[in-house]
Amino acid sequence: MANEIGLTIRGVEASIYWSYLLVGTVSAWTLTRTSPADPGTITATVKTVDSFRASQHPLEFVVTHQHGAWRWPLQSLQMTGASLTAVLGPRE
Amino acid sequence: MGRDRIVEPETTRLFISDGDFIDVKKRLNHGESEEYYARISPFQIPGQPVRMDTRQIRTSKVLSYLLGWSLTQKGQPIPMSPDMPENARQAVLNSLDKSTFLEVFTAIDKHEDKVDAEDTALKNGKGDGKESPAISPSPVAVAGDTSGSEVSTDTSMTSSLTN
Repeated sequence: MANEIGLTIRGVEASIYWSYLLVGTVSAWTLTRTSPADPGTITATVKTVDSFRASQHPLEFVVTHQHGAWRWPLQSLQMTGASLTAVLGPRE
Repeated sequence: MGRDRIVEPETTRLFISDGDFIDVKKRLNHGESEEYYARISPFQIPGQPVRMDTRQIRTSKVLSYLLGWSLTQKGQPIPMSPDMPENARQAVLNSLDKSTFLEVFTAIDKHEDKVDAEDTALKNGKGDGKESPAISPSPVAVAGDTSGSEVSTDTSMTSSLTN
């Protein structure tokens, strides 16, 4: 059934922002959404991070491309060493 | 209870001529202010009079505040984003016509003065903390500054450096 189709997007580099302030950069990221009801999860490897800004809210996961950027709001963000896991929030 | 001490990264839209606008930071935090002063006064030695790079005074203030805009060239958006490297952002600013740059600078300078006044009033217990409308400089106000020199247009910055 169409409403059970999941989604996986992978990328090389991305950034996390607190408004216009850069929180950090990540590499080897994967966005997984198992169903339309699933808000989605991002896993990535942390390259740089400002730990104070990472504790602020709201945060956005930003992937730049040739014609602009894709932006996903983050509901939560966890970092353990160089490993990042984030749960996506609702799209604006 | 004390007042908030962290600068939240808020943005404000300022309108300039011909329906164009610029998006700017509402206020700079300590780190952004230090970067601004370092750009305009890279040669400062403790105990010595401040020596400023006068070519950078207005451009540095714009670089510190500007986040984006609606400006176009031949129907295409002129890129301006905090994601861009600083030298690329500066190169775009340097390519603007003089009157457009002056409009952008004047709008930001007035915005900074307004926010500084609000902050001072709040600290003195005179403000209500509510935001007043974004500044939209009139064409007359913008054109009125066209005779100003690079150094003399930024008196508020100079006074804050010497205080």
